[in-house]
Formats: sequence, C-alpha cells, structure tokens
Amino acid sequence: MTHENGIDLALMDEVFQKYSQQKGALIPILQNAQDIYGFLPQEALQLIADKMGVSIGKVYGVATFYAQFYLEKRGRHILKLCDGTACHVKGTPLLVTALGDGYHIQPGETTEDGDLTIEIVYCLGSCALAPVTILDDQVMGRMRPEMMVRKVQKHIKDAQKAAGA
Amino acid sequence: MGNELLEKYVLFRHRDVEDIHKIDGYTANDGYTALKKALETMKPEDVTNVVKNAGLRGRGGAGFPAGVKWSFIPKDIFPKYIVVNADESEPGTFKDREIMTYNPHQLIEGIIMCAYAVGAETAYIYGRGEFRTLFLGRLQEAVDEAYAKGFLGKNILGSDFSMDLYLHLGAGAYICGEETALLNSLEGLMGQPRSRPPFPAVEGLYAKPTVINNVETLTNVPPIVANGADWYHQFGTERSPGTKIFSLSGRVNKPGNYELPLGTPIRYLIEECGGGVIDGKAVKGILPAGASSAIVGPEALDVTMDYEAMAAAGTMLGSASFIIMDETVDAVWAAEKNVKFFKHESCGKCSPCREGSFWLTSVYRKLREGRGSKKDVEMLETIINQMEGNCFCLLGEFTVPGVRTSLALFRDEYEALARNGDEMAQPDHNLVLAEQMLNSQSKV
Amino acid sequence: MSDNTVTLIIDGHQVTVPKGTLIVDAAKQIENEIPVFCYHTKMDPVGMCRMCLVEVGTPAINRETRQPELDEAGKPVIRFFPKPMTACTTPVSEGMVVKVDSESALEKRKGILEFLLTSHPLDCPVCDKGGECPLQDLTIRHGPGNSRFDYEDKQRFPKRYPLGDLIVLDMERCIICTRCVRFQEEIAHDPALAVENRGRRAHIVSYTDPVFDSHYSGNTADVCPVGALTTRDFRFGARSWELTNAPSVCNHCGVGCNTVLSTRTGQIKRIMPRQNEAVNEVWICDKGRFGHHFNGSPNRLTTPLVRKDGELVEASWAEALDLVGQKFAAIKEAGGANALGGIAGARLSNEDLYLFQKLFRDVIGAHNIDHRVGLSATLEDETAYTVGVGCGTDLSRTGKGAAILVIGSDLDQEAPVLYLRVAGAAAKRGARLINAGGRQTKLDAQAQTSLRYRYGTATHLALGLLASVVEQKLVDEAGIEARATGFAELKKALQNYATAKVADVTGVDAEEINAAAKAFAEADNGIIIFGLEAGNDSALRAALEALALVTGHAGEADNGLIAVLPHANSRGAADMGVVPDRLPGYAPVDGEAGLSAQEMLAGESGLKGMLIAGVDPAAESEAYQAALEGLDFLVVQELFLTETAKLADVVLPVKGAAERDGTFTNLERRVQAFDIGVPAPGLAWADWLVLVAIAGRLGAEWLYASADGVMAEITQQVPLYAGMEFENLTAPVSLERKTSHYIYEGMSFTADAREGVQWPTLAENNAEGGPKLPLRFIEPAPVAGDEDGFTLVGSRFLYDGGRLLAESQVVESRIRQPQILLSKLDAQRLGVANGDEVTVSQNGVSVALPVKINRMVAEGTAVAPRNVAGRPVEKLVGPGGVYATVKVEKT
Repeated sequence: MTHENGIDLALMDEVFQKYSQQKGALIPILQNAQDIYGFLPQEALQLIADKMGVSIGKVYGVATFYAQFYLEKRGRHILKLCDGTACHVKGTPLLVTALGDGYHIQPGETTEDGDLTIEIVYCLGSCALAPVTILDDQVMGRMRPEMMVRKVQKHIKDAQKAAGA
Repeated sequence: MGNELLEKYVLFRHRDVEDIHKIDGYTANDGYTALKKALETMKPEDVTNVVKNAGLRGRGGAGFPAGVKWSFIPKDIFPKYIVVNADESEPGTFKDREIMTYNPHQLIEGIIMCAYAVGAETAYIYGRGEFRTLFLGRLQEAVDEAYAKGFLGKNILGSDFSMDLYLHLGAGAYICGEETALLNSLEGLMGQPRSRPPFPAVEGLYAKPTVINNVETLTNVPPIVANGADWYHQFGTERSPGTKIFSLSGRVNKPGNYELPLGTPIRYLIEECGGGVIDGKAVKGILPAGASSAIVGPEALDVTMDYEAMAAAGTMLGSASFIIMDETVDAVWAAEKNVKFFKHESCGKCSPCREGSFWLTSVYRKLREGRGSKKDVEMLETIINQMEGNCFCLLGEFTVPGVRTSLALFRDEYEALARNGDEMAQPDHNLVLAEQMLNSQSKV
Repeated sequence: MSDNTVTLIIDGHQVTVPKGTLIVDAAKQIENEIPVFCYHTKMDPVGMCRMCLVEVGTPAINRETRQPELDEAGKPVIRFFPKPMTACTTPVSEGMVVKVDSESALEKRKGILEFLLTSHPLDCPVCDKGGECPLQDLTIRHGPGNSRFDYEDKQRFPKRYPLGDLIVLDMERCIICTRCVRFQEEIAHDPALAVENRGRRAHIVSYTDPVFDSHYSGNTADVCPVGALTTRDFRFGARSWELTNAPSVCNHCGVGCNTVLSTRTGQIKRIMPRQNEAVNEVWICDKGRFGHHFNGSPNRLTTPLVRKDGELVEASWAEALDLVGQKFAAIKEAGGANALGGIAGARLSNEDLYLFQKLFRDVIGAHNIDHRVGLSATLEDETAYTVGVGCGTDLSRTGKGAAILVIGSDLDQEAPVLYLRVAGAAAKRGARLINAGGRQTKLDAQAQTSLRYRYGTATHLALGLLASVVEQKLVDEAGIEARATGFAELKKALQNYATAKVADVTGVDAEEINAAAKAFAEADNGIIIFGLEAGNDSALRAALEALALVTGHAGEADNGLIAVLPHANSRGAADMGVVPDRLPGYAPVDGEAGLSAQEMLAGESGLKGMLIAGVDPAAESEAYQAALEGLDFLVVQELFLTETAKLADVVLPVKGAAERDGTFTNLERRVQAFDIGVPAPGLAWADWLVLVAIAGRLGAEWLYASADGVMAEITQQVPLYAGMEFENLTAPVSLERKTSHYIYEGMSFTADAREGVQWPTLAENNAEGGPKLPLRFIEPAPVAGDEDGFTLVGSRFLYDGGRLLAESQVVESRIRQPQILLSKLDAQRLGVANGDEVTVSQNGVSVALPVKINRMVAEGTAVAPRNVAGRPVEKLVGPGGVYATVKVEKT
C-alpha cells in the first residue's frame, strides 16, 4: 500500500513486529521509521500513533522534542558540524562560512539539487578531535575549511558514481 | 603500562591489554572473575557493602556514593531496573564513549553485579543518539558475546540469578542526561524531568525502583569487587577514592582522555598529560565540568581534582570534562556559546530555564554585536539571579555558574563591549509598547 | 492533633490540614492565595511555572537524640531549605514553616513573572482575558511595570491559530503552563492537544481530525491563565468588567451543570461553568457553553399566533387566550374532560410542570398528561424515588473503595460532565468501574471491566449479576432483613438466571459476570448508572433496584441508582406528576389513570384537543404528526415554530430558560434554581404564566405572581420538595465551605456558588426506619433469536439535530448529519468507503445513509445518530426503540 506521495507504509510492518512486545518503544520505532523514509512523514506518524495506541499529539510531541528527528525531507547527504564549546573554539564558524561560500546554504538548509543538507549539532562527544564533522556516518575530525569542502565534493561525486554504476 | 601516576589502568584497561574489547581477550585477563566471585561467594548485600566501603562516588557529575544509592532500593517491590546513563552529552565529555568502545565488558560486568546487588532482572543502557554506530555495532556485539557465554540471560554462571540487558538509543536531547528526563525518554515520552520525590530509587522506570548509574561508575565495580575496598582506597583521596577519567579539550596540545587518581592537580592534567597550552600561551580560564562549570582562572591550576577541592575552589568536578581556554579566546564569545547551548537544549518545562536562557542569548547577542550597554551587562547578572535556585532541574541551574564566573573573571571584556553600545541610541520602551499595541489593534 | 492532620505555620499563621495537603492548598485555608499558573486543584501538580516558589523550613532534628532541636527560648529550631520550593508540589509536614510573603520569596516570584512576560505581548487592551487574567493581576500586584526585554527579540508566533472551530490559540500569549494539555489528558481523556518542540519554541498543537476533537474544549479557555486560548464564541465579544453575571443552570441535559450567564446589553455573551462540586465541579461541556444562541435568536416566536383561514397569523395574547379558553371549554362540554390531553416537555421548569398538571387535573379534570415522548418514554419511572443515589452523593470524591456500574449509556455523548466525573473516579481516584453496554464507548478506556452484551439482553445481564451476588453469598443479609421484603421469592426467581445461562444469553463471559458481581457487591460504596440503550424495560429497573438493595448499596450517600435522563428536567417532570398515573410526589392517582403520551399520539385516542408545551412530537414521527393533525384543536407553547407548532391552531410564544427564572431537578434529584439573565424577545411569556392565563380563561382563579410563588405552593403540596423555597435554593454557600471546597485560581467566574438541594429517596427514609421496600422481580421480555443482518443501534449524540442547538452557528460543523457508523471490516465486506451510501432496511422500511467507518464499532453492529435531519434511524428502530436487526446493502 503506497501512499499518494510515495510513502510505503507497509515498510513499517516489520518495525511494529520487532517492537510489539516492548513497552515504551516509541523512540526506537520513530528511529526505524526515519531510517526507512529518511525523515518522518506525517502518514507514518499517524500510523505509529494508531498502532501504539497513543495520541497523535504525543507522537508529534516526541518527534519534535528530540533534535535527531526530522519532519521534513532532507538532502541525500547530511553533513553535521559540531558547534559544541570545544569545536567552536577550534573554528566551526569558519567551516560554516566555507560551506556558505561553496554551496550557498546555511545550517538547516538543503542545496537546491537535494544533494546536501548541513546541520549544526551541539557536541558530538569527540572534543579531542575538534572541530568535528560527520558526513553521513563518517566522522571527520580536526577539520579545516578547504579540506572539508574537498571531502564533501568527493563524497557526493563518489556516491553519484556508485549510483550510476 | 599505565601512566606515571598509575601502574596499571583501572578503567582504561584497553590501554594496557590488547583485544580486551573482545570477550576472549577480557576473560583471558581476569574478566568476569569478579562476577564469578560475587555470584559464588557473596550475598547481594555484600556486593553493595563493598562498593559502599570502597567509597565509589557517582561519576556522572553529582558524586553521590554509588553503594548508598543501591542501598535505597526497596527489597519488596518488583520488578526493579538498572538504567545505565550513557547519554554522555556534557560538552567536552567523551570518556564513556571510550569505555564502551574499547572496554565494554568491564562495564557489562559492572552492570550485572549492580543488578545482582539490588535484585534487578532488567537493565538498560541509554546512550545518546550519536552513539548509534557504537550501539548497533561494537557494544551490541559485546552484549551478544556476554549472552553467548552465559554472563547474561538465564541462570548466570549456573546461579539462580538471571538478567537481561538492552541497549536503547536517545534521539538528541542534552536534558536526557538528567536522570528523570532519561527515564521519561526511555519510556517513549518527551525527555522532560520529573518532580522529586518520588526518587527513582523508589519510583523510577515505569514507577518501579530503579538504579541509575553512569557508565564510568559501573565500570569501577568489577575491580572493586575483585580486589576489595581497601585496594580501591590506595587511589585518590580519603573522601574521593579511586581513579577518574578526565576528558581534556580546548586549547591544549594533546587533548584526550586521561585516567588519573582523583586528587591529581589540574596543572598535571594540562601540562603533563595535555602537553601544555597551544603555542605556549597562558591559561585564561578552565571549565572543569564542561558547559555547566563555574569557570576558574589560572590561579586554580594547583587545585587538586577531587570532589572536595574543586568545590572549595568554587566550582565542581562534575563529569570532569576540562575545557581549557587560553588568552586567545574571547571570554564573552565563549560564554555566549554556552548560553546558546543551554537555550537550544532547554526542554521548555519550567519558565526560568526556558525564558532565562532565551533572554540571556538575546542580551549576549546584543553585546557581541556592539549594541549593548553597561545596563545589559548588569542585566546578565539579574537574569542569572532570577534563574538561580528557581529552575525545575539542574540543567536550568547549570546555565548560571558559567555566566556568573565569566562575568566575575572577565568583567573588563564585557565592559569593553558595552562601551561601544553605550554610544548607540537605545529604543524608547514606551514607544515600542505603543507601537505594539497599535499593531495588535489593527489586526483585530 | 489527630493522626491524619498536620499543623504548620504559614506567614505566622498556624493552620491544620489533612496529611498530604500541598502547601498551596494549605495556604488557601487561611486565605493566603499563593500565586500559581500551572497548578490547578483538579489536576496533578507539575511544578513548571515556578510562580509559587516559597521558602520552606522544617524543624531541625538532632542527629544523636533524634529529638527536635530547641533554641534558647525552648522553641524548635527551623532549618530552611537552601532553595525555594514550589508550593504546588510540596506536601505539608508537621511543624513546617512556610514564608510566602517574605522579601526573598517575593523577589523570586517577581523574577519569574518577568520571565513569563519576556515574550508575552502586552496587548491586554485587546485581549479577551483582560480584566480577569491571573497574569495581568499578578503583574499589577508584583510588577515589573516596564519590560526590560528587547522588543525586537520577542519570540514570534502566529497571532490567531485556530485550534478547531471553537477555540482560538494566540501562541504569543501562551506561557506554556500546559493546563490545557493536561486538562484534555487527565480530565477529558481526549488527548487532543499536545506540546510540540522544546525550549522557547515549544507551542501548543492539535493534530486530531477534526482539529481539537473533544466535547470539553471550552474548559481549556477557562483554565488558561492568560489569553492564549479563547473561545470563538466570546472572542472580542465584550470586556469582562462590563459583563453582568447571572447564576444559571444548563438546560441541555439532565446533569444540571451550574453555569454563569455573562450578559451585556441584554445579550448572552458567554456561558461559563459555576462551581458546584456535587454536580459539575468547574466544568461544562461545549454544548452547554456554546448552545445558548437560541435565547436571542431572530427565529424566535415573538407574538401569539392563531390559525385563520388555514394560516397562522399574529394575534394579541388576549385574543389567543380567549380562543384557547373557549375551545377547551367547548371540547370539555361536548366530549367530557377526557377529550383533552396535554404533553409537556421535560425542559420546562418544575413550576411550569406543576401548573401544567394542575391545569389538567384541577381545572380540566383529566389525567391525560405526560412528558415522555419518543425515547424519553423508554426510561425511568420511579426508580430514583425508591433507590436513587443518596443525598450528599458527590462523584467528585468517589474513588478507591467505590464501585460504579454503568449500563447502557454512552456518557460522553449523553451526559458529558457525568462522563468526566465517572471517568475521573476510575482513572484518577481509583474507583472500580464496570462499563456494561452493547457497544464500545469512550468510557471503556477508563473502565477496569467492560461487559459487552448482545442488544436486548441488558436485563438478563442485570439479573445475572444479581443472581451471581446471591450465589457467591455476597448479599447484605442484615440489611435485607431490616429493610426489604420478598427476598425469598426473588431468590427463587433468580434460579433461572444462573451465571452460565446468562453468559449464554448475553454473550458476556461467565467469569466476568461473577467477577463484576463480586467487585460491585464487595465495594464500600456502589453506584449504578443506567441509560437509554439498556432498553425500555421495567424488568431492568426492578433488577437494578434489587441489585442495589441486595448489595446494601442503597439509602445512603454515594450509593444507589442514577438514570441518565435525556432532558434538563426529566426528573422534575416525574416529580411534578406530569404522568398519567401519578400525582406530584409519586402518589397514585385516584381512580383510573389517564392516557400516556404514546396513547395520546397513537391516533384514535379519543382526544379532541391538546395542549403541547416545549416538545415537538410531530418532528419525531409521521404517525405522531398524523395523530396531531386529527385533533380538533391544538395549542402549542413554544420558542420556535416547530413542526408541532406548524400544526397548531394557537401558538403561544414562551421565554427561554435564560429569560426567566425557575428550577430544574437534575438526574441526582438535586433541585437547582436559575435566575433571569436576559430579556425575552417580543411578547414571550414564561410557560407557567401562560398556564395561569389559560386556567383563568377556564374559570380558575390562580394567584401566582412569580415562579417563586409557584414553588412556594409546591413545597406545601409535594412533601419531597419541602424546604425548597427559592430563598433556600438561591442561598450562597457558607464562607467556610467556600474556602475549603472552592477554587478560583485562573477561573474567571465570580457569580456566587449555590449548591441546590436534593430530596431523599424511599431507601433513605427506610434506612431511618421507614417502611420496608419490596424486592421486585419482573420477568424480562423474551430475547429474540439470532436473525441475519446488522444490529442497528439508534444512539444519542451530543451534537444532534435538536431545534435549540440549530441556532448556534459556532457548533454547526459538529452537528451530526444522518450517517451510519460501521466497522472497517464490515465496510470492506460491503465494498463501501467513507461517504458511500448504503441502504438500510427492515420490514419494508428502508433508508439511505452515508457510511462513516468508526474504530469503536464492532463487526455486525451499525450505529446511527438519533434526532438528526429526517430522523432516519427512528424510522427503523421506532421513535421509542433502541435497536433493530436490519439489512445493510451498498446502494
């Protein structure tokens, strides 16, 4: 059963199965849903509320309370920049400027082609590597502006190649 | 082996022993022998007592004696839970991640012994969302190994004692490091703190008795049980016994985690461990407990790092995440950073934290943009006075000391910024009000 | 000092309160109101707003001696906590010292207030809450007078965000106290609101469909301590200080919620709850709040009408009344008194109803009177008189140790505020709730036990429970011996209702029947609430009466029966003897009983003339309409030109409840007075006055000058109503009760509270040594065998097609349209989706209805609202019927 806007809710069946016995599994279920769709579509939230017997308001409440849930579609690649105290001291603002110059986006925004979303996070717990960035799941520490832009370009290009092949 | 102050690591045993993150590596090096000893030769209350006698204090920040906490758990209410706080979110803190990545079995063994001591059959490790890779990978592998070898599950090591351990990931909220907010999050709710009393020891997870301990705290348990309380007292000070992991970051040459006995001077951490300040600059300020700290100046370099001495120096040991500012760092900028962090992480439950952090951010921005006046500097002080002691939980309270000490230590920098602002015209509040009313009326 | 109390000192005043009392409530006892925003007496404390910070100290205890430390003067040393405490979350303890008004505490609260104001727009001049706003009041009291917060930095939110059709949210004014969210969760059990996001970006949202879907939404505007939530109805309606407040009683259902009519220039501007712990606490439902527009409606009748040449034309009162007098006299002359009959609606006041029966009995000389038309005919006769809940029953306190058995009622739809109280008793206070019904209702979520019986077997279930109580030896032997007769016969009759057999007939599990019987019988207190869906069955009432008596749950407070009566004064209509066989106060009539409403409306009743007041039988069925058309002369007293009025020869315009005074008796037998709020349109008269005039035209000399005067006579003539003079009914509650029971935090109402008076039942008299009560057994009607098809249930919904509600445009979108609710599976089987039409038929009658899929409806059941446009379901189940087996096909 695919929803009008391409959200296939049947993909959630396995998730509900997995957590059927677990009390209070709302957060892991939301995490799984986000893994499936890349963000939390409204239809999925309604389904989760119905299945878990909690109000839709509560589901939205939880989904918006935690910083790692996204209710809107995001770019194909996510670059997280740590702006915790240690990273900030070590120059995260310079990284933001470099990205603004290179991709014309600010934190929280996605490039027009949908390739890249950049996000600011507060302390990734790797302060010894400050400033820290995470490109998709790859941690890149002690980052400098030019180096970071190069790495992002390469990462996107590699992914495109892989998809093309 | 070890470092200059420790012959052998107590917590960071992976730095001494290869492959200790694998169960075979761990068991080959006395791993799970403490558990065996506990299950075979000790009654549950004996385990609690040895931890109590060792004087092990909570490493999450509050420093509450762990054994005492365990002894609060009522005997006659079931089920009971163990919740391991691995929501390591304090800026500058990255010690628990290292334990869980490289020495996970020592933590798991500690958890099992804690469960045995209080009679719990279910334990959760609650990790921050960023630990996803670790929790889905290495840590889960370690748990699976422990199950496979019979250290977890039914009838552990052939005893009557059974327990399960689950990993649970948060989803991005600093507040979930607050133990009652963590419990709400674990139950699938918004991570907002709960009223106390009731305390988690009586009504915790799903309103059942719950022990909440930090990762590092429980990692101390196996060596304590194995070697006894007296052995443990050889490290640290009288009232702050044991070793502690210090996360060092900021303007130092070699940032990183350092395990040292409690009571080691700050200077040793910065100079001997951290290789001194970058470019040999002077220390300007030290945040000993991440963003939550009262900042201390260079005169505190010889203060020893234990709960008592740090408190006496007007700050706290907390999670022992030392962020070092040198003379190149703009103090107002750094304080604004912290305030913005607290504003971003405020859960919104209580008004002083929600509104106070928001207001502080606004005043800091004004100052940093050169629009502030001396009045605004004073305003910062008023705002934190109005917050202090009035917040629902400690997160709100933690906003205060950084600002207060920053104002006290670096007043001149604030005033320099304010001088610029004083020259600019200030808006007339009454005019603003009148305009606002007109606006809202025209919308009617 | 008793073991259950604690004595403490608040700002130098000693106060003794029950253990567990919160500081904030203890302070109220000495009229020291600690300011609060998030705290509300009816909800669990959360300690969020921090406005109630106070300094708290406790006696210091010497560690060694474990004795309190004493100072030089021999007084206990008080050690203050280093941080201030929230008075709303801290319970009192012995010897505690609380400083509310110390300099430090005042300073703290001033700081909190400034925080709350940082993003609050100072738009009091245009805010509906202005003048009755706790934030405004406290700001004036505590300062600050000026904002130090930078205007440019204020958090911006949309100014008018509709939370559904009824409530508007101004998020900028919101201080995130979450009272509204918590009210919906804790009290209304409709979690329609939520907080989204965190920190300063946190805001209130609703994602339900329809948005903010709840029968209780208006209460959130009452509990909102700022102007963030306002009702669509009152928004920009008036300034609070310009309103005149009249105490009133809601006229939409039998609960009898106490209300305040806030009026200005002769118009109702809003209706708010008036606190009465024994009736509605501080709540009213949205129908009561928004359904008042009929009072000032331009569609109202404003002048008498008489039929001339087949048309109703305007006439003077004198002309109309003369005609009524002449015609009634002529009909009596020609066909005797029994050629006349009357039906009075159960939303008339006691005074109207008393005079209505007096007109027929004393002046005309007939007993042909009734108030029970349509579904009303199916409920209650004298059960409440016998074993109604005891005087002093207070559902706001019912909790642990009590059991409540609800049978055949969807309280959330039929008596919303009763739902709140029953749900609260179970969910909040730990009462054991057993919800028995033919279908799932909202109350099942709060019930520990749900007994789902086949429609038509409610009586069997009741008898099964009774038999199980006897079988399990849980009867109150001593009580029965002392107070009842006929137990041996009853026991014998119950042998046919063994649990296994009843389980078979009703479809309820035998073990559940036994468990429910046990729980009910063993409870300290037991209340039975029964409703229309349990069926029109005197056997059911006999069984429930017996269940109450046999378990000892009768004749005292918090025990007995409550019938969920359909109208505001259904109880009063029975009390006043507007029935063909009983006089006021339930004495049987001398001689033969008159005709019932059913008989009068059956055609061929022999009636030539009728007087119908405040009820619209012609709208209920075509058969009734035909019967009325067959009359020689029909007089109707009405607010609107209803279907019945259109058939009348004389139509007399009357005043709405807000336009006159009077009394209603609620379903717990509480007689409550309501005052005049607004003037009536045109030439409308109060119903009682119309009756006085008609009596006069028929030769009687009635000297009533006011409703008050009529009630004075009732108190003389009806012993049950002794002592219920207006003077007593309108007396404000004592100051002591006010301080101990009444709350005002954040509530805007000011009208003085009155609590009404309950009349005692036979069971209560009997407990005092009165005559014994017979235990009745009536053989229930045989249960129909299984037929193929759907069980169609005609259910009452809150927002139905009633004439009064039709005048309130604000709730228009919520009014039920004809529809049929089906389970998802049945809809799939029929091949229909939401909005598709199905044909529902039975015995040659068929109606077409659009489908709505509903999660609460079980397979094989179909639910359709009653009293909606065209009355489709009544055509199938009959105007007085509840259910029928029908065929459902895709159209």
